[in-house]
Amino acid sequence: MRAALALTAIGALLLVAEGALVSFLPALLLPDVALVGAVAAALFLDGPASLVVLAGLGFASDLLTGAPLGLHALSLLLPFAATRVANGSLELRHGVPEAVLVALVTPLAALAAVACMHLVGVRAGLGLAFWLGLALQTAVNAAVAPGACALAEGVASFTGDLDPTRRGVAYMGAAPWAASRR
Amino acid sequence: MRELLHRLRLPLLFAGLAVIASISIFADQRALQAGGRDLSWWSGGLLEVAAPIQRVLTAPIDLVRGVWRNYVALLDAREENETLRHQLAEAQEETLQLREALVASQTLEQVAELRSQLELPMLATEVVGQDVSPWFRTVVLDRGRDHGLRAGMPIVTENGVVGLVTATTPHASRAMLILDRQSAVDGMVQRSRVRGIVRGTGAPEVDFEFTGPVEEVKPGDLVITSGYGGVYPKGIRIGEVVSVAQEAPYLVRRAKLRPAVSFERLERVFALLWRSPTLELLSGDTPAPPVLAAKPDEKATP
Repeated sequence: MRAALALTAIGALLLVAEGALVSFLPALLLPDVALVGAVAAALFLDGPASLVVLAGLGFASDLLTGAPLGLHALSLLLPFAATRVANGSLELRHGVPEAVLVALVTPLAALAAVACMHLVGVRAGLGLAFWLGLALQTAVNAAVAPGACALAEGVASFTGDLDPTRRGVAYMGAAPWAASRR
Repeated sequence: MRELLHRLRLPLLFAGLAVIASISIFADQRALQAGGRDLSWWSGGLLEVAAPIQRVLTAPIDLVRGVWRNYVALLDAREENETLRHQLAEAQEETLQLREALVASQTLEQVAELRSQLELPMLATEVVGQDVSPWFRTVVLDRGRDHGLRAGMPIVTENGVVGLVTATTPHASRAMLILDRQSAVDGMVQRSRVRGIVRGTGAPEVDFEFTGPVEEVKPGDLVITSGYGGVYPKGIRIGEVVSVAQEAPYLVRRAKLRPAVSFERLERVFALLWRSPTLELLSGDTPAPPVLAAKPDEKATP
């Protein structure tokens, strides 16, 4: 759980820093820290700890962006679940798979956010600008994903909270053909 | 049983978080409709921390940008100086004529009195952070409850309406810009007095929704606050009509407005230390008189 708290604190600080940077850089060029952080946590921490990171970063995003409190946390649940499911059957803990995973879940999170906003009566158009912005945001998120995942892995290793159910290790041990290879 | 709970803990936590987040969203929306809210210490803690950090991060970049801007400005300062000198002379002549006209009609005192009645105490505040979400348009201000700010107070610049305070902590606050999708301002066209709602779209331009003949709203018209919305005082500039949608069949017509305020370069803004009676009733709290609530060293400018 220490890793979860540390990652939440780091993520919150990055969100604050982004708030200052956005005065000089277009918002779409800055990564979605909450999403990338939640995915990284889902990959490297156990279930409850990664949910703590998701909730912490989600609510922090809401406080800093003026979104209805809880919107980011709710919309991040979908990519979080997708990551946990995918991580259960695929080896995703490498640079390229991490980037691809984040690229795939970024539109999921965006569409979930749109759905949540419609629920509370906030209009959010799905026009060309939305899709172009989403494409750019997806690319930025994917680019920073390996770095974020490395950070999450480093913190989890340091605190001893690295998820032991690492798919690759478990699979090699359990596979019928693994014994012959050994 | 324990093992079952252990196995189901992730789905249970997942569902619990979904329920808490959903309840929180609806509660927050309700608070926003009531003009915003003062954040408690645990929910506003991050905003409290964010404001000074963002101010520190922004300062050096602002400095570099300011030096660069001033240097570039100096390159053609002479030409610009001549133009400004000319404009100043014209403005002085115009002011003199207006003053003479007012004195001549013996209304100067009445006008001055009316102005003093309408004037509201204001508090200068710096924008120290913006949101990074593509969905929402809010800013973080470096003044909060201890300086007299309350949720629901309007934020303006010398050019026009910026938005309103939606959440406050003791030393910082968050303001929703009129560009935000959740923003709706009651406005009217200054020329034809047609009323409508100015809605944020998340884009740099805002929508002006009105009923009535489309001819009454033309590109170039100035839209100001009507004073009816219960949030903004009457007569503050919102923006200029850029285009009017010509679709006839709809009862509600829509025009695009270019906001009077340049949101890309938002640095110093003014909070009107005033809330409409409607918001006072909805919020239920009894804020201290704004001028008294301001710190002695933070002069509220009348």
